[in-house]
Amino acid sequence: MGENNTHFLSHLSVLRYNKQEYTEDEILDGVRKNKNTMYQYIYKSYFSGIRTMVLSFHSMALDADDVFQDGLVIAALNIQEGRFRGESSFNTYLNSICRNVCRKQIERAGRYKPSEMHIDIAEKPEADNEELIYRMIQLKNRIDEKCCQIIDLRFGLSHQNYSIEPTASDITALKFEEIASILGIEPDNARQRFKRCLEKLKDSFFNHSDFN
Amino acid sequence: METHEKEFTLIERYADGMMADSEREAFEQGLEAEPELKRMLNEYTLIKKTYIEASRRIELKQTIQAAIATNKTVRLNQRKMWLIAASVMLIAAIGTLIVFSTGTKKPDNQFTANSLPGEKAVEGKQNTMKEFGNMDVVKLNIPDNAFFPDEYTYLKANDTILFQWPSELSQRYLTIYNSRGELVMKATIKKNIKEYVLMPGVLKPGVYYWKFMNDSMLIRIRVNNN
Repeated sequence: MGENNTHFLSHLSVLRYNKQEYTEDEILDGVRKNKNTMYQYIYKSYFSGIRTMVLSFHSMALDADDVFQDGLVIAALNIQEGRFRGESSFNTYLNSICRNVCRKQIERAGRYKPSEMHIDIAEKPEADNEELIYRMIQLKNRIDEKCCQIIDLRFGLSHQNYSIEPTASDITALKFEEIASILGIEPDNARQRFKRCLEKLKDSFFNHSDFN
Repeated sequence: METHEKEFTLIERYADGMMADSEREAFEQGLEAEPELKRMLNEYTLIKKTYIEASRRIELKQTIQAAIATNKTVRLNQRKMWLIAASVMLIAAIGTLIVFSTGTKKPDNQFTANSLPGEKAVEGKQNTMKEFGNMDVVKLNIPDNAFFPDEYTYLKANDTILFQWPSELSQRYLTIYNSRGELVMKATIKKNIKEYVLMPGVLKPGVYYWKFMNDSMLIRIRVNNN
């Protein structure tokens, strides 16, 4: 039937007819395969509990939807990469991740000062990984399109966006000659553009300045 | 700049795994002797790893948001359906109440067959009760076996009128006629009931005759303006 059957049967689900329940294994399998129906099920089943937990922090810095989505992203990636050992139920795992997300966001909201955000790799090699990823997400949302494009290609991301055949390894860096042919520029231009964009990204990332 | 350009190229080739084994070994040995090169490599590796992870999270979050948005749309439609159903039921309930409540007033609003359609034989406001409006007072003063109100009783339009009759009578209808002989009210009286209360304002000012059915004598009363 496919994933669209929920639309046809939605009137029945109002009456709790055809209400689906999944086992833990089915949930983990659905998450590994990135199934939309499984994310919908997880939202329907677990969001209210997460929202209650978020509200218990009594913080204006927190948005329940945002916390849930961020938490589910982290949980899903951990499951997909085999980092979830299955020692607790999925609900408990998701709840614990969302709780950490809340703590991080509150911490961030309370201490945001540019001077404190400088990262020196030599001095702080153990800088919080989540914090770095969060910062990179903020930067990537502000990065200009051309830089984003060339960095994505160089780091082997977004093959489907550029009509490139995916290789066995999902993340394979492209050579500058290949990038140049996709973008319609010279290989040396591609190299220079990538270097320039990477320098700007590095500077913003390590010094927490805006990407301009 | 040229040095950095050279180092940048080396770092990229090393990070991409494009060096030959011997070149890679020489590069790794050189890292220990060149802290600046090592720092640049660490920065590049961190940036690359973090960028890839951030991109995956952004893409996955978009997938999850799209899935949740679909779910929210379905739930919104379900809520709308329930609201519509509840509204229809509420309207039906209100309509039923209106229909049944207007139906129970019929005994007080009966007219003769000759009365003009839409003509109201009775009107008036339900004002504060005076004199006969206080039913307790009326009851205390009336003998048990008398007709009340009796002949030529003067009443006001805003009075509550208590009709009473001898207890031994067992007729079934209380009727009121206006001065033209038209029936303006007919009330069914249940067994063993010895009185009937007519609320203020039901009778317009005028002369009326009331009768407890099967009793041959009409009793005249007059209702005046206030």
